[in-house]
Amino acid sequence: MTVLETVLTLVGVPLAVIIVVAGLVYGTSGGRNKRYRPGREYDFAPVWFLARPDDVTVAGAADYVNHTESASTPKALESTESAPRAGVKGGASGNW
Amino acid sequence: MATGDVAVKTAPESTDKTSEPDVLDGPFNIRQLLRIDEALAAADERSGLTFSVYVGPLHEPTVGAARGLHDRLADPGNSILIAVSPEQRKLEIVTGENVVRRIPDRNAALAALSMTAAFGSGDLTRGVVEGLRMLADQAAP
Repeated sequence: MTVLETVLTLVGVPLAVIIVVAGLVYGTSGGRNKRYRPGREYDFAPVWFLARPDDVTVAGAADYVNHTESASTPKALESTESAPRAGVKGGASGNW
Repeated sequence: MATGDVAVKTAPESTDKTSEPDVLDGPFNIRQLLRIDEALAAADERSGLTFSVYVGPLHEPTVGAARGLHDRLADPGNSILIAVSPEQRKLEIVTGENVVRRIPDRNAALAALSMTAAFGSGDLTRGVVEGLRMLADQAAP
């Protein structure tokens, strides 16, 4: 075994392995990491799921989103606006 | 109609109905969307109620905002809305008139607790799926 072969085997092979592994690790997660992390910035689009999508008016959801983003109308007006249709509602709240 | 369709959502600038890719702008990848979809369909079927999940910003007060969203559903009386605002770290569960009898607020609070535990660890999907399962179990006839 020549000196060159020895160097190639003992240095070249480990280097090649390191490069391949690094490529796999950083290459695959190179895109946008779609994940919510508490405390980090959250810039995802709002989503609304229904098993039967026809049950909600999509336009209504878009209105709502625009509404929250403008946020210029007084809060009191917004809540009375939906009051007439509100029957007895229950539920629970939480935060984390 | 397939009960399995993932519903639609809505980026501010796009109001057309065929905004299918929008759902991928949300915080979930395809596999997570499928899990949520499956859990929603199972919850609806098991309980006979209409479950709905909203993930996005809620204006203050968040209870009023979530109730406003709940009113937009086709049949609010028989519907349950789970509204999650990861940005504000708030969760609201809103139950309709007829649902309250089957899911008392105390049980809803229990589901909320289990959901916020998952959200706190950064796992939105697990929280939503678990919450749907717990609520559907309680509402099952």
